[in-house]
Amino acid sequence: MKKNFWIILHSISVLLFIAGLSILYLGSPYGYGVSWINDKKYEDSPKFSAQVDEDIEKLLAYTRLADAFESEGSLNMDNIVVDAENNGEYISYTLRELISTAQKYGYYFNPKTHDVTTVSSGSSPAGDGSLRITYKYYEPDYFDNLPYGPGQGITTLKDLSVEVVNKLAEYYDFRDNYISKPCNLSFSIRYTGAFGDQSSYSNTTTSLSKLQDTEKYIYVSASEADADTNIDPVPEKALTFLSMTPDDDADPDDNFLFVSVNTAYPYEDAYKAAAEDFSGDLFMAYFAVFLLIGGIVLAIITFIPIVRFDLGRDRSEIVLTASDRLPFGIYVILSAIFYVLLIVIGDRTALRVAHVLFPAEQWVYWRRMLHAVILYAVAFGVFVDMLRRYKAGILWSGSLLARLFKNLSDYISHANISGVLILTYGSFVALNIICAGLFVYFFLQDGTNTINDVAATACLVLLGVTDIIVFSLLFTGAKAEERIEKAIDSLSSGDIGHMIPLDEFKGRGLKTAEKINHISTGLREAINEQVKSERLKADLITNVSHDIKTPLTSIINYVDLIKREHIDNERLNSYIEVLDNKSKRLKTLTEDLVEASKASSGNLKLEINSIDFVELVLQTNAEFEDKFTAAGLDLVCSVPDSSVMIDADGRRLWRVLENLYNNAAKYALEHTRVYVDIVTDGDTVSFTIKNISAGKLNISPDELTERFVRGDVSRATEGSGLGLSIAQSLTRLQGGEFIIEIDGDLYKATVRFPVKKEAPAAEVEESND
Amino acid sequence: MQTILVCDDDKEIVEATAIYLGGEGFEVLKAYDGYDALKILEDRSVDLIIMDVMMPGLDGIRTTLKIRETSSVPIIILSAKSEDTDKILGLNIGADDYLTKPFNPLELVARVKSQLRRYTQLGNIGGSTGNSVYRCGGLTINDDNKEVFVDGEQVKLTPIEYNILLLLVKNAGKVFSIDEIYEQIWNEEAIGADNTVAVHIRHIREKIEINPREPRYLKVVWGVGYKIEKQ
Repeated sequence: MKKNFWIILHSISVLLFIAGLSILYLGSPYGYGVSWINDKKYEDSPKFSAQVDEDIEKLLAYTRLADAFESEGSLNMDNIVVDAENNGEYISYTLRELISTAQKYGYYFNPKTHDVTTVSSGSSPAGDGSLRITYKYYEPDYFDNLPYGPGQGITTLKDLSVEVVNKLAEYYDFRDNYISKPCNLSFSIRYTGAFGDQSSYSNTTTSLSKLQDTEKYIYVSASEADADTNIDPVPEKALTFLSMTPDDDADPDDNFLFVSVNTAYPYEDAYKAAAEDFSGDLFMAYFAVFLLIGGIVLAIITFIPIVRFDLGRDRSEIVLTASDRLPFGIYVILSAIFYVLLIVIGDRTALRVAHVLFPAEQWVYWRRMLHAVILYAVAFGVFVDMLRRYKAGILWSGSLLARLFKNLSDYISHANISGVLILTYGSFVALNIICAGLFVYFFLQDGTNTINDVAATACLVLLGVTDIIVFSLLFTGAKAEERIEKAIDSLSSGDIGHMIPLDEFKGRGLKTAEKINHISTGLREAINEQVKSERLKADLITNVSHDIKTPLTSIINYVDLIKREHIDNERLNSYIEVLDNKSKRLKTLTEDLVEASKASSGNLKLEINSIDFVELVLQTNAEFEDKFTAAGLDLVCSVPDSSVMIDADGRRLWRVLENLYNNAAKYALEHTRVYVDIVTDGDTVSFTIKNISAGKLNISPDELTERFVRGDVSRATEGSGLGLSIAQSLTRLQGGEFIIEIDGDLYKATVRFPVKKEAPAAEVEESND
Repeated sequence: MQTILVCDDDKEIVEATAIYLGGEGFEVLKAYDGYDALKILEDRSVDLIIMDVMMPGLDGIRTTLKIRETSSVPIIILSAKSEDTDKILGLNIGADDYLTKPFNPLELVARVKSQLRRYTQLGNIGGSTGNSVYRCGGLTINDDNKEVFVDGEQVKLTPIEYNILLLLVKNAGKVFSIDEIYEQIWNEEAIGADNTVAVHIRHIREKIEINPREPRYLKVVWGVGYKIEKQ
């Protein structure tokens, strides 16, 4: 695959980078950077300076040893080198004694090879008690560095003798390499020792000034704080010489250090070898820098197509592997485990190989490098996987966090209210406790620490912010609840037009509000539908009645015309009478039908005025006087002397009374009394009409007011049967009560209205038809 | 002989109407829709028109409007539409009377005669001068000789009935309650509720109105009182 090609190339570039870095890191004087590759000659390079530095350190160590080991310019084995105390007894050891003691323990010094060989490394022989060293002659500042306190400066004779043997080896090593043998390094050193004795060492006879002109040199004198040198960078070890001189005002002629290197390199030594190798070193350094930069550039170049390989494609082109089904979080965790495994395995395999291939002082470096490479590889893999997931759109949706959120939100949306309440309130309380606890913890910590103050403040702020947020959420919820309750109130009180503005709600409240709106919409639609159908019915009845009336007119007219012919046939006349009656009844029926349908559907316009109920009853009485007399009925009327005002449509209320009076006239038993009363209790006024029914009333009052139901089930008499229904509807339309009561043959109708309180006089004047 | 135009799309109704009116000595012209009626009116002079509302072609309302552009001949609308709004519409566009179907033939004849009298004879009775003559539409009261005329025809009233009618006509448009009328006529305080006045008024209505249930002059303001409609 193309992508794999780029990945391999990328790996190679990373390896190149590592190679360059390793060469630079391990091959050049560490701590001097890479700027030295601009130096043309060895003696200008930091490596040269480092070599000089190392030699100066050796030289200074040598002079100390020489002070202790030499007498009159040559090694004297009888020089006392250590003072010590053993159980209150003071002993001084000479060099010879210590060397022979070391030999006793199996440590031999070979003056030819300057090596210390161990024949048998036995443990300390018996009787070798502890020794407290009081002075080491080869360490003049021993007193200065002497650690005080019990148990300090204690050693065994064996350890002491081994140390001295090694020092002797060091002494020999320097003397043979730098003094006895001609070398490119020249030195001259003079100083005043710890006991005021003058020491002077040199391996050259050439004058210092001449050496200064021709060679690389460094000169440090007791009177000067800085070194005089032409070596860059300055070999810092030379300055430690200053601590060897007793004070600053010592004679500079007797207290100085001079070191120079003959850059012609006439003798075979470390300098000549290094100078000869320098061009090779320089080449390696250039090569390493090239590798380093090339590796970085190549890594970046190869990285781009790897990234673009996934990002540049359409979502559909991305083939998801089995590993992509793992949530991203799991993938990262697995990668971390894989990383640890690689580290463990790498430490046991690759590092072992490195141990074989590279010197010990580089092992730490190689270990770090191995770990860095493993980390890079694993992180790179995770990064590329993340890119692919991002492009495939499953980075978030497939992640553990997303699943957690989804499960949580599923739980919240499906759990009942109390469950969610417990969960949210629990987390709220937990957060509060944690914040408060942390605040107290940080607050009680050391006040001088700024971090503690900041942390405490942060806890307090977090606490405050959470509480404010929770409060505002609760407040919003309560507000929404209040609004919903109001809406339900107005809905239950009949205001079906009330809609809750949805944009003020969120979450659960929004759902509830939507449902309530849905209910009110549904109710409104149902009621509108019903009103509409009632109106349609009323309209239909009105139109049908119009259509019936036209032919009915002809029937009535022609029956009348026949009657006018004065036919001399008894039977025919009786037939015509039937036709006359029925056609007239049909007329009443159609008229009442229209009125009934309009009254029951509320499809008529009321003209509500202030009217006097008493006056209305008196007017009605007058209208029916003759009719009652004709029916053999005695009207007994009892009304208050003063007027009783109500709010009603006078003409419609007259229709109500007319129907009731007509009923009485039609159905009351002959030669009985009809009682009409008006009674008021201050708040309401009740009109009642009572009569004894001529026929048996074996039906319920409710049935009486239903359309087409009449007192006599046979329907033999005149009338439409709609009178009571119309009366009831009209009364209710005007805001009154209409009650029918039946007690045996006693029939009682009541019409009740609320009394109007204001003074009636003025309004009566203005009312008109 | 007076000529009456009957216009209705129902032929039987036109026929029956013609018989009734013919029996009363009128010449009857028949039309079956608005265009017919207008055509007849171009050729003939007509004393009164009976007009149906719901007709194919030109309906009664539009026909009436058309006639009113040129003529003030009395028009009685005869319609199956019995709603208040229909009646008001009909009277507002220039009809003189409104009668609903099915109608009482006698009432129709009475109304026709009444309209004709008002239209042709009004001047004679109304001609008498003086402050003692009160007129309200077709209703005229001559207080000098205590005579009452409806559409030119004299009506006999009892003294109390006459006084009540006079009170109402003098204050045409004003509504009088039963108590007020009682106090004005009997000149004493009304004690308790009594329907004497109401009964008298019903009697007056029966005498001066063609259809007492649908009075033209003396109207019942239910629950308030009575009044003479100002015309």
